[in-house]
Amino acid sequence: MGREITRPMTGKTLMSWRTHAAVVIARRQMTETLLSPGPYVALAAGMLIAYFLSTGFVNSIDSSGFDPRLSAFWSSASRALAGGFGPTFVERLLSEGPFFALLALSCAPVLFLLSVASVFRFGQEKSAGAVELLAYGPADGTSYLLASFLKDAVLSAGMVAFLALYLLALSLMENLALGPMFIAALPVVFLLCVAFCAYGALCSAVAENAASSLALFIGIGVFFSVLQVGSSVVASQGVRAAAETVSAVVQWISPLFYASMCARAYGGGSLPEFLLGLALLLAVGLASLAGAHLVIRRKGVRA
Amino acid sequence: MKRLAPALLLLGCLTAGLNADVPIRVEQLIYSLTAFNGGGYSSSFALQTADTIYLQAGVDNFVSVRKTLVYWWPITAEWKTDTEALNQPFTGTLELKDRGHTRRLSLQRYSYFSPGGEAGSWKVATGPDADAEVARAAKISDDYFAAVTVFQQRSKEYDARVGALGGRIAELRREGRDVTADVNVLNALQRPMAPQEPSDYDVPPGPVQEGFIVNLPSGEFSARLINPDGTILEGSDKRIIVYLPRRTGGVGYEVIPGDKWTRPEESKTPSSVLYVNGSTDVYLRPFFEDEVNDLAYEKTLSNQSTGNPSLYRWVRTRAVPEARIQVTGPDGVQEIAEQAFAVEQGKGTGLGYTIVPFDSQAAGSDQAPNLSAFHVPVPHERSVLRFRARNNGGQTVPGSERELRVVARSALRPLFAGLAGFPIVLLLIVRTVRARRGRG
Repeated sequence: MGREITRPMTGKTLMSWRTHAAVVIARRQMTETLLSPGPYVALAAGMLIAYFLSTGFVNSIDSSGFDPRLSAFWSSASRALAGGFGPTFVERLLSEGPFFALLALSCAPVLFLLSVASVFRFGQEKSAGAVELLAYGPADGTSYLLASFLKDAVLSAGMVAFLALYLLALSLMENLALGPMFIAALPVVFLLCVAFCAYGALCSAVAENAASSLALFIGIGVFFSVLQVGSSVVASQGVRAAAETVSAVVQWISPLFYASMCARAYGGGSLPEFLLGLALLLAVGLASLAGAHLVIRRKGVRA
Repeated sequence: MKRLAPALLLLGCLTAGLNADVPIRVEQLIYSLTAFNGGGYSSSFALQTADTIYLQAGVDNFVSVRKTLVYWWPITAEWKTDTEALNQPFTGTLELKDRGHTRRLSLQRYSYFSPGGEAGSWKVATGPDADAEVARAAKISDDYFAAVTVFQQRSKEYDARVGALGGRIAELRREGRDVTADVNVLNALQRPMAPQEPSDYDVPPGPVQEGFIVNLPSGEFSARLINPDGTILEGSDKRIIVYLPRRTGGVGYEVIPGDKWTRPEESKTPSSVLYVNGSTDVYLRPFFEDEVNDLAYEKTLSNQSTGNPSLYRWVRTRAVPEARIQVTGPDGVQEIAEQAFAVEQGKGTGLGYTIVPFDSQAAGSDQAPNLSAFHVPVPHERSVLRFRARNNGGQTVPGSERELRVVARSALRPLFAGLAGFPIVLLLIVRTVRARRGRG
């Protein structure tokens, strides 16, 4: 791990010491993650999803354009989405081609695995006393938390970039356009993932053990997703009204709300609103991280 | 007979309920709506149970309050009105309130129409002007049909004269006599000209109606009907949401593939890409469009519809006049003008349609082209065409740029499917290297 780390007590030196400790631990954790099969399998799954859906899209193109009825997947998916969110949603989703949808679908398993594995690992190491051991030695709880977050952010960025490159190659192969919506979605997907990783860190700090931190993290993710989907659904006005009511209170802490804000801004051609959405997405991630820091400072790292 | 009795009784019981399903009609106070939707007017109504009406801002919309019978029509899954049985309009004043400001509207006689040659523009005539406009339209229509009747009569006489002369010439020829005089008469005969269809209106005014003309700025209003005696009509309270388009002046395209004339597609979103397989050419028709809220627009078309309040959609308003299309492709840049086309149905068992340039001389004076569009030849191989609409001044119409991509199945597909296994190969390499290092 290189040079010896000695813990200063206050001020700027404490910050830089903490950052250094976080970077060293993050590097170590990243190596361990890259030695485990999970990310590779998830990445391969994401690429396979992208491959089959993009070729399915091309197979559904006839003389008049994209006709989802020519592909089993696209037919079912477009009917389900039109039923749930209205035909306008499907029209806008696929207006530039399939790659915006493919980016979301192929990144989902990879980013889900990364964040879940990270939360579980933090909980497990806390239970086993490994974090406490580190805190007695060269690092403290916050630097460990920061390290976990840094590792997730770097790996997420790498994997989103890798998948984006694969999608670019697919688009060139089939003469499809990636589209400006795809380009705009890249920073949103990355920051969304960063925000969820920060939530993961918060859950790890709050919960007592691995199982409860994982349950808390998945619960929060599902809750935000249900609220976001519910407030955009057209199939049931009752569901939408209920979701909108809850959303009015909770949306401010939901990364999905800011991601949808970016999507709305892109649709309306408003660059300032889009950038504001990105900034708020980053802010919600940083706020979660700050919350995790406060919790761990108060509770300590003992399980 | 005794044995049959229980079976007949059972059959009777089972078929007792098999009568024609007559929808149950319920008396309701409804708002009749003729709402401007950007491109024209949509007729709809708001049920007594509907609390909100959606209207576009800054345009004339027509509203009336009436009592009628409504019933659920399961075939189209919507409520319908039975105005034949009951149709009682209410007079009075429509009161509209927004934050502290009250507007009171009186009933007006009105008619709306779209004048000819002003694509997509609509006018509203009220009071005596409405009567005059309807009378004018009726006179134009009557004059035209009178001219058509005269034309048909003259055509009939002409055909009879030509037939008689033809027969006489043939007979004279058989007898070996001189036909010059008759041929001269035949050649001098002039086929009657069909009268020109009147171009005064794209959509003529309908019968004069009575209603409240609602033209409001964007915002939320509460509405209710005040009876002539000053009381409030019970059940007439409604909320009116008046909305503006989020963006205006976009350009969309109607895309008609050469082999599927009956299945045109639309390219509405400015950043959208048209994907085709290159099996046929496409025919484009550009139109102006506005971007409006999906829910508000759907509710404007029909108050019973649903839409997504968090999404916006582009809606067609009017055709782009005197446009040209500039196409940039593998063969360079070309400027395409609008052309008239005829659609021919395929002969034999193949069915389908073929679009061919319209030949006005061959078609005759009473036949019109089926289609007026911009013909864009599409290459058969993988390629990218970029096109844009240009106005008569040669400038690009903003928001009209689009991309058309001809896609084809790639021969590299197996390679790309194999690439999806690359992370697994990478994992194996990493694990092997690590195992060797561990042993070393």
